[in-house]
Amino acid sequence: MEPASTLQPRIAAFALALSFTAASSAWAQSNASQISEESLIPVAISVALPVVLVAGAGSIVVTGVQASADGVVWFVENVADGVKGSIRFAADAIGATAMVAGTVVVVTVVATGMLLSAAGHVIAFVPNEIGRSLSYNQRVSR
Amino acid sequence: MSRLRRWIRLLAGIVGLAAAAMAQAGQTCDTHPPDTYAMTRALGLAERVQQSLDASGARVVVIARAGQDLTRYGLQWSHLAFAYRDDPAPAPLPMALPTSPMLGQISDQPIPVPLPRRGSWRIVHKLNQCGTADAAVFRQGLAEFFLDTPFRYEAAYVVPDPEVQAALLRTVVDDQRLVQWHSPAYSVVAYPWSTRYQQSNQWALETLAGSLDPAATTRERAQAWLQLHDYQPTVLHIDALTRLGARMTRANVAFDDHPNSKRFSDHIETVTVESMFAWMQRMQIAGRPTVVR
Repeated sequence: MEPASTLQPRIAAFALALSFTAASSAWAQSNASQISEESLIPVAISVALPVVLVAGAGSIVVTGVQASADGVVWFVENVADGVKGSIRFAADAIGATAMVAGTVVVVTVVATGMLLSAAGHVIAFVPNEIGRSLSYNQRVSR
Repeated sequence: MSRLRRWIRLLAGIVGLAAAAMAQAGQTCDTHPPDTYAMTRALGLAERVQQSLDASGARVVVIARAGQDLTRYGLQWSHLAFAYRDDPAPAPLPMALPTSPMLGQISDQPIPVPLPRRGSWRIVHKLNQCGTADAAVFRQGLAEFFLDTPFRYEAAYVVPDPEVQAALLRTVVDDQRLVQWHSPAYSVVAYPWSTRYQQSNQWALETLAGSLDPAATTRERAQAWLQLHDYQPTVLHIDALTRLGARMTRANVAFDDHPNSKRFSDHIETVTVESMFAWMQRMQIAGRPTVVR
């Protein structure tokens, strides 16, 4: 288990900050008995998003991406009202750094968290408590 | 066109086809992430499996998914794994309880007894790495296990006997033991009585055997133990043309570990979910499969 990583909320009003312990850094999409490193979906370890998005579906636009040793942060803005937020990933989350500013991301709330998708494909997962218990990825053998 | 030139063109065509086939060898994994609908279904199934496993009372089970359509071989399930509840170690009792009464006093404060905390279900399994003839052992969550846009969003598991669970539990939490019966060289149709290759279900079967028999410390010994205990693999009927095509276009398919007598009679034996579930029931070390949809 990795230590908890929280993000300083960058938005004041109408924002809900959720912090998560990162049990995993990526989703592995596998085909039958196969695994492909290229198809890993990053899992957010902490997020500060407008509450309206946490409660239901909506869209955000990525306004910037910042990568450091501490992790990768997507700065986002709610399309509907311009409220700002951010989503943090572990530094080794495959795919997180590939995000390009200006990308419009659709947020879909599911029972296990939030799915972030662009152009019809899921690009990240923001797990809630249930989703976190379901998510883990560790390579055991070299 | 002269006969010679026709032959040269035909030969060039064959070489070109072969080159194209080799260029695609092993590149069969879909590298596109799933769409929202597929991922929602996978997460939903993972949650239902978690609830079912919680209700089963088991600590470790043998679980299968339907990643590929194998119904033409009479098989419902394609991939095996172990699922176990990763309970955290119980918290140690404090050295000195602040509510401990002084000598001669009676405490009205109950001494807190830490409740056992339940962990999350984890999967350990062997996965072929796309584009290669190698495989590795992974520990994953239930969600990852179903995130492969499977053929059917269903799972099946059998609950081993308590003694078998105890033996398996010692293995699945121990990274060194998890790789003790693992070989990286992978073939999806690996022969069960050879150690040249190893497919995912075979790893699970040999790991179970090694966990149950302290003397089965190697793959060879685990296979010997399985033969002694009458494990029967599934027989797939795969003709020569299909074998040739698969061998040329897929890096993770090989038949050279199968005995010639069986191979040339299209008789391909390999470890399947069905054969392992059936053997565990025949051995009376597990119950009937529970299906989760």
